[in-house]
Amino acid sequence: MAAPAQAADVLSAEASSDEYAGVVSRAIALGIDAAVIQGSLLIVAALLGLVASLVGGITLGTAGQIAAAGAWLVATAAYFVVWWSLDGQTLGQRAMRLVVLTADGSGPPPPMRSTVRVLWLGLCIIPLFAGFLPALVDDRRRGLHDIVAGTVVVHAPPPVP
Amino acid sequence: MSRRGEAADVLLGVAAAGVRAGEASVHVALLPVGLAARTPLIGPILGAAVEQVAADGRAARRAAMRRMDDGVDRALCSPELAALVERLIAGPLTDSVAQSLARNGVPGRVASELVASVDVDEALTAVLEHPQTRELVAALTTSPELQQLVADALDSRLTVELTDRILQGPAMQHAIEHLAGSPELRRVVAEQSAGMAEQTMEGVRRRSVVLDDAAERTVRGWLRRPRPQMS
Repeated sequence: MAAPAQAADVLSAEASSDEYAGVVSRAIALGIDAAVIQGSLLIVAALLGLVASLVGGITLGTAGQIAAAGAWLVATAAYFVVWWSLDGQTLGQRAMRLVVLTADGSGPPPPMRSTVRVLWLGLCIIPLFAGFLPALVDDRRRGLHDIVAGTVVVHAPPPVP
Repeated sequence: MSRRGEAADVLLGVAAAGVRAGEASVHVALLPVGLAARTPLIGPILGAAVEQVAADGRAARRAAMRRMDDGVDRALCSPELAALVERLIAGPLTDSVAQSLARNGVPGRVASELVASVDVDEALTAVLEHPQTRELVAALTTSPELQQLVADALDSRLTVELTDRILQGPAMQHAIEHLAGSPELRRVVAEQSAGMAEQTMEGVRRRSVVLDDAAERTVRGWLRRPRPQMS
């Protein structure tokens, strides 16, 4: 939790637009997160498929496929919600040294606000990422999901060795 | 012991007693001379005579030493001695001496003694720092003949075969296994990998920040909505 606290200090001390992360940094972080979570889920699905093939194969019906897709979406959403609520950073954001904070900079968003943010993140992605466009003109570089959830994304200071 | 041997010993004993008696009589006979040498009148005359005799003796000794040196030089340079040494070396004595030296571990003992008595580091340092050593090394390294020799040696098939044999040898395999299993090497490799990954990410972060600003500036330019200056 040290990085969000430091980021919050920076945010309150000198609120310059340079501290807010732009669309490119956030897109790279999102790409890393997508690779991590989708890669992990693919491995889990492959293992489950292997186990199923050992017992003669399991064919999912329509309901089963919907349930599997739902579980896939829930796992993906849970990944973001848990990391944002616990640390303010997903693995991709940690790699890019970005932190999600509440709009007042008090700390990481609570679970409910993180849930709202991830739902709106999905809605921002669906129309060809158009939901991120406000970040190009907003003074605090917020996307639509940030505005709705009341969060900002800032650059975290480098870790103290 | 035989009676003949006893007789010889008796004769030797008589001769030794005679020599001792003669020695004692000479001491007794020289007593007045010593007393006279201490007297004020005769002492200086006798001292001068003794000094003259001593000078003659020294000159004779020097001449004898010179003759002996000349003789030794002539003997050492003589073809006869060279032929003798040649015969000695060519003969079985050399082999016997070498075998004896090896059997008794003389080279090892000499080497140990040398190592114990000589400061090897100091000696090596002195040799390496000597100007002649540097000149020699410089001359060797810039010598075209040596460069050609090294190039020929490196290009030779023997070098390739030798390198292959060394690389495929059990000693090399053992060394590689030892290095691969070394915790220090693993730690260094892990640190290097982490450092490289961190450097790569730092580069990505820096460039992404530049692109953030560029993208925002471009869109704001299109919309004629400049970025606010915040303190």
